[in-house]
Amino acid sequence: MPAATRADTRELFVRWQAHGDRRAREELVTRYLPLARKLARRYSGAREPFADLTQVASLGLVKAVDRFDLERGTGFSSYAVPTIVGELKRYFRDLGWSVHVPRGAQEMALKVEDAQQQLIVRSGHAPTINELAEYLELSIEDVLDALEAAAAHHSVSLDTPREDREGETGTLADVFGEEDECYELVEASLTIRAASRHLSTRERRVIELRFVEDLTQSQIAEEIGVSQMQVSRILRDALERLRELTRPERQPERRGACRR
Amino acid sequence: MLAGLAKPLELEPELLSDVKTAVSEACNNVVLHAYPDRPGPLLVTLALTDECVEVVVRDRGCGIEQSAPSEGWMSVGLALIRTLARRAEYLDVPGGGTEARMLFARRSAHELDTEACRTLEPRSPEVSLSGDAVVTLAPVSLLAAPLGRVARAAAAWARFSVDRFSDLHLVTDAIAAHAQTATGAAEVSFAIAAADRRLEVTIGPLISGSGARLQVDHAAGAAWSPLSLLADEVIAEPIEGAEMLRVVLLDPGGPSVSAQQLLG
Repeated sequence: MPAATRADTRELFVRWQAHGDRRAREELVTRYLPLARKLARRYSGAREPFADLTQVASLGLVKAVDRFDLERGTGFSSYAVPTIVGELKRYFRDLGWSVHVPRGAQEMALKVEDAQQQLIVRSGHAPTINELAEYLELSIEDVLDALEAAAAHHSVSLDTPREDREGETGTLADVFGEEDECYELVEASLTIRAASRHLSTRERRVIELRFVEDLTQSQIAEEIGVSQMQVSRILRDALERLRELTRPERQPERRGACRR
Repeated sequence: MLAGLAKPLELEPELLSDVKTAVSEACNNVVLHAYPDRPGPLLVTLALTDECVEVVVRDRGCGIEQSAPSEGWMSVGLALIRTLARRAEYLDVPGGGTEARMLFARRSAHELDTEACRTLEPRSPEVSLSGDAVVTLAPVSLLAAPLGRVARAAAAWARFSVDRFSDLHLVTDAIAAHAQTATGAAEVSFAIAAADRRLEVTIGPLISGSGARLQVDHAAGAAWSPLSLLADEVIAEPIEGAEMLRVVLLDPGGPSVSAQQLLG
């Protein structure tokens, strides 16, 4: 910023703070409004109403203009930023929200899932993240967030009834074997037999299609009639459960009982 | 990357939001200013204790302009970082590049002895890694979420289809699970290098020989490992006294759903 403008800013502060010139105050607020807007944008994400936050940030700016002490010798910006951020945070606190709450992420996930289906039908291949972002007119970050929300692992209670394509019923506890059962699990790999013992029919099928028949997740989705996102979730849940069984700390007692 | 840390770290939402905002400011600075005429890496180091979170964001770029900051990003970004972090420093790194060092207080913030935290700061990785993003974490148990996030963001950039993107999710889960049992050090580093439809993840240092456990004989079809089945390359590379694991994923692209399937 040219020196002339800086002096001008100082002059404006003197006019407002020493002489109560409201036009100088207005001029200062107008001049630094872009700063307030920038900060508001940092906190607005894709979902918080930007206009509201700009108002809050502007209020913080006015406070900063009123309280800034010229004698401190620091630039106004370095005083204004903490004041404005403080105002923004207080606003979130008063609303009882934590900042950057991914509100609507699940909703967004559904939209992304939907877009995925439509793009596959249109082009015949699984879309890239870019293509999804363009189609939905969202940023790549938003699509990534939505996919994270979709993939979020929900801890499953052992008593959760399992849905099964073949109509099998039972709870997850049924799937896990007896305590003294000998798990034929190699450390980093999993035997097909072990998999079959600890997975539902549908999980087994999905794993076979992906790992043995080498279909893509979209192809598997077509094959068993669910979305690609669900296929992704089924695979992750199944693998995580199997990995849980192979954890080293769970193995010592089994090793003794296990004869190979 | 940091969003995934909330749960394992049990960070308070407000603190997490501060950390996220400040760190993304620092990363934005690297992306926008560090490499005006050539690509270069973004290096992030994160260390956590009961009292504090320390994050260091580095680049090997052109260095910070020490001259009067303009009214553009630098002043707003820096001021924001200073506001949010308990302590923040922006330094030129000898030999080129900039380092943003940020310290955040957890819980009983008032009694925090920032000097004590300072002694906990992570060393720069002994193993020099190259990639677009290099992340060092301590403790190692933090690995899964940031590895997954950074890799998936890179995959989006590398134009991966959602199919390979989801495969990558399984692969990074498997890498993290493997590293958890195969690390002998207090910290672990990973590097992500992305090119068009190609992604490379390197992680280490890991215990020598641990990668061999991943070499499973698939021929018989009796056993399988998601890592080696989904990745295009899984290579254990010995380094001094340890080894690095390198995993490459490609996305050939093209039709993945047959017309028959669509019609059926």
